Amino acid sequence: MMRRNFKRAGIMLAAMGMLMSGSTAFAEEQVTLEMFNMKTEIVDILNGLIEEYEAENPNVTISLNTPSDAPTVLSTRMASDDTPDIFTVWPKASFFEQVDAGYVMNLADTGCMDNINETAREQWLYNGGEYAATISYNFAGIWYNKAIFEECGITEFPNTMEGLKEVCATLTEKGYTPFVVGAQKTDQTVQHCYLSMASYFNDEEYAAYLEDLNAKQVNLEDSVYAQCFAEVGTVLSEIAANSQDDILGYDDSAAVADFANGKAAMMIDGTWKLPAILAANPEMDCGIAAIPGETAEDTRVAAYPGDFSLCASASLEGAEKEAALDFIKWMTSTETATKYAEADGSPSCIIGVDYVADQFREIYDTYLAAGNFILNPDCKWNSAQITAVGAAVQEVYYNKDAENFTANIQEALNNN
Amino acid sequence: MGVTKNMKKLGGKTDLTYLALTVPATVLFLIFWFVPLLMGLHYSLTDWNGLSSDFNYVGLQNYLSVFTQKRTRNALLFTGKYSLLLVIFVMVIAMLLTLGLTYVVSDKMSTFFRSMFFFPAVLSMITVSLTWNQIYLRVLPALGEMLGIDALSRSVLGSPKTAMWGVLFVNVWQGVAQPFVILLAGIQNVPQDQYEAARIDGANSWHLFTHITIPYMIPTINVAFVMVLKAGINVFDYIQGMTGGGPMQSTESAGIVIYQMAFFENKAGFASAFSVILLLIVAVISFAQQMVSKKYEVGQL
Repeated sequence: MMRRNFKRAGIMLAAMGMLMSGSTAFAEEQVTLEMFNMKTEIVDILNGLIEEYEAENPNVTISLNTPSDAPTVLSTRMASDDTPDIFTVWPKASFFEQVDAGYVMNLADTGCMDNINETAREQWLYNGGEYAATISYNFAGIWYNKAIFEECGITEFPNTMEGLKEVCATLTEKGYTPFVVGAQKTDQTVQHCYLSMASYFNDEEYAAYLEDLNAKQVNLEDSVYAQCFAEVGTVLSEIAANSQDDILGYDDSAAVADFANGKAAMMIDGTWKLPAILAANPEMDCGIAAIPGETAEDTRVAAYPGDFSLCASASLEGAEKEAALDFIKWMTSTETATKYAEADGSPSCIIGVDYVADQFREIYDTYLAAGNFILNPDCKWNSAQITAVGAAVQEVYYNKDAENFTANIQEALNNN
Repeated sequence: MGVTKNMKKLGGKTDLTYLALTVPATVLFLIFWFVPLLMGLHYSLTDWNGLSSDFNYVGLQNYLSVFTQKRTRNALLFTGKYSLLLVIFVMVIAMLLTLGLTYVVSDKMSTFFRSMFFFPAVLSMITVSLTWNQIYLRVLPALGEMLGIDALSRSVLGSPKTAMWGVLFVNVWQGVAQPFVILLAGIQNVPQDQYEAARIDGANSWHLFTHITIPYMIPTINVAFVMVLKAGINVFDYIQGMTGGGPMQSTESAGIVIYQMAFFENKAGFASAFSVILLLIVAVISFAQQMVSKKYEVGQL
C-alpha cells in the first residue's frame, strides 16, 4: 500500500516537475522580436522605451529597424512572406489591403486594444476586427509665429475666414509674408485640400460626399457638397495670394526653414513638424490653429488617430506571439503612453493620458477633446487619388485661381 | 594544315575552359535577371496587387490599359520626350568633349579635364538631385534677382513648363561623364594612317570627321547611345529626388508611375505590364539603331 502511495506521489511529483519545468521554459524562453518603424522622428523615443521594456523583460530582445522608404520596404517584405513581428503603420485605405491579404494580426480580444479610447478604436474597426493599436493622434492646421502676431498687434488666431483675411492684410502691411507654402510635392498639397474640407463640409454634406466617393461618382456640379469643394478652392487661392512667390519651388523642408526663421508668419502643416521647427529655431514661439471656416461654428479640424500605431504579424506563434502582444499591451498602457506623449508631444489615444505639448493645447482643447473633428479625408482616398488631388491643389497655387479646381477634383476622385 | 588542327584542339580545350568560367556569371544572370523577368511577364498578365497570394489572370488587359489610361499615356509621352532630349544633349556634348580633348587640348591638360568631366559620375543620383534642388531654390533665384533676370527669379522646378528642363539639365550634367569616357576610348582606336591618307587626298577636317572618325566610332557610339537611351527611358532617381513627378504631375516618367503603382497603389500586375512595355521599347529602339548603324560602320571584323 505504502509502496503504491509512494509510486503515486512519485508520478505526481514527476508530472508537476515536468509541468513546472515546461511552463518555466515557455515563459523564460529567449525571444527576439523585430520592430519595424516607419516614423523616423521617434527613433530615439522608441529606443528609450524598448530599453525600458527589455529591462523589465530580460528574456525579450527587440531590435528596432527604421529603414528609409519604409512603406515600400514593408509592402515588399509582406509580399515575400517576411512580415516584421511588430510594425508601425499609418492606417488608411491601402493598409486594409494588407489586412485582407492576411499579413496583419487581429488584435481584438488580445487585450491590446483595451486601453485605447473608443473614438480611436471606432475609426479603424474593419469587418469586426481591430488590426492597429493606435497610440497617438496627429492633426494639421495653420502654424503661426506668436512673436510676429504679437508684434503686429494680432492678439489671437482668427476662427473665421474673414478674420484670416484681415490678419493677412495686417501682416502684409507690416512687411511680413503671411504664408510660406511648400507645395513642390503632392503629398504636401493634398493636406491643404483635406484640412480645408473639415471646415467647409457639414456632417450632412460630408456623408453625401463619402457615399458618392465610395461609388466613384463624386458630383461637383449639382450635388449638396459641390459648393463645399468650390469654397475649398477659394480658400486655397486665398492662401496662394498671401504666400511667397515661388510656392511650387518650395518643398516642406524649405517652408519649415522659412517659417522657423521668421520669413513668413504662417505655414500649413501638421503637428509632426514641431521637432523640425524647433530644430531650425529652438527659441521659436509658435502655435497651431484650425483652418477657419466661414463662421466660427463651421470651423473644425481634420485629425488622424493613427499617427503612431502598432501592428503585429499574423504569422507569429507561441512565445513570439505572446511576447509581441505583451509589448503592444505595455506600449498602450497609460504609464508608457504618458512617457511617449511627453516625449513626442502628440495627443494620445490612450485612456488616462492627458499630456499634449503646449503648442497643441489650444487646438486640442477646442476641437479634439470636444470631438469637433473629422477623420483625415485622405484616409478614404487611394494613392492615385491622393496624387491627383495634390496635383489639383498645385494647379490652384500655380494659377493663383481656382477656376479648374472642382473639375480636377471630380476627375481625381472618380477616375483613379 | 597541322598547325590548324593543333589550334582547333587547343581551341576546343580553351573553349571548354572559357565556358566553365562563364558558369557563375550565367547562373547569377539567370537567377537575378532572367527569373525575375519571367515572373514579371507572368504577373503582367494578372491583377496581382503585390501583396496577396491570390490573383486572377486578365490576359492582355493591363497592356491595353497602359495605352488607354491618361496618366500612363502622359507618362509614356513624357518619357519619350525626355529620353530623346537626353540622348541628343548627352551624345552631342560627350562627342564635342571627346573631340576637344583629343584634338584641341594638350595632353597635359587633357588628363585634368578628363578627371573634371568624369567627376559628376562618382556622385550618387539622389545626392546630386537634392543638391541641385537647393541650387534651383536658393542660389539661382538670388542670382536672378541680383542680375534682374526675371526668368531666374523662381525655381525652374516650380513650374510645369520648366520643371522637365530643370531635371534634364542635371541629368545631362551628370550623365555626360560615362558616354564621354566610352567615346574617348573609342576615338583612340581610329587608325591614324587613315587620317594621313585622307589628308594626302585633300580631305578637310569635316571630311575626316564624317568619313573616318564617325564610321570607325559607330560601335562605340552604339554602346553609349543604348546606355543613355536606357537611362532616359528608365529615369527615376532624378525626378524622385527633385520633383516627385510634379508639379501637377508634369514630370511623371514611366519609372515614377511604375513605382507608385507597384508600391503605393497596389497594382503590381499593371506595373509589371508597364515595365515589360518599357523593356520592349528599349529593345526595339536599340535593335533598330544597331541595324541602321551597321550599314555605316567600318573597321569591324
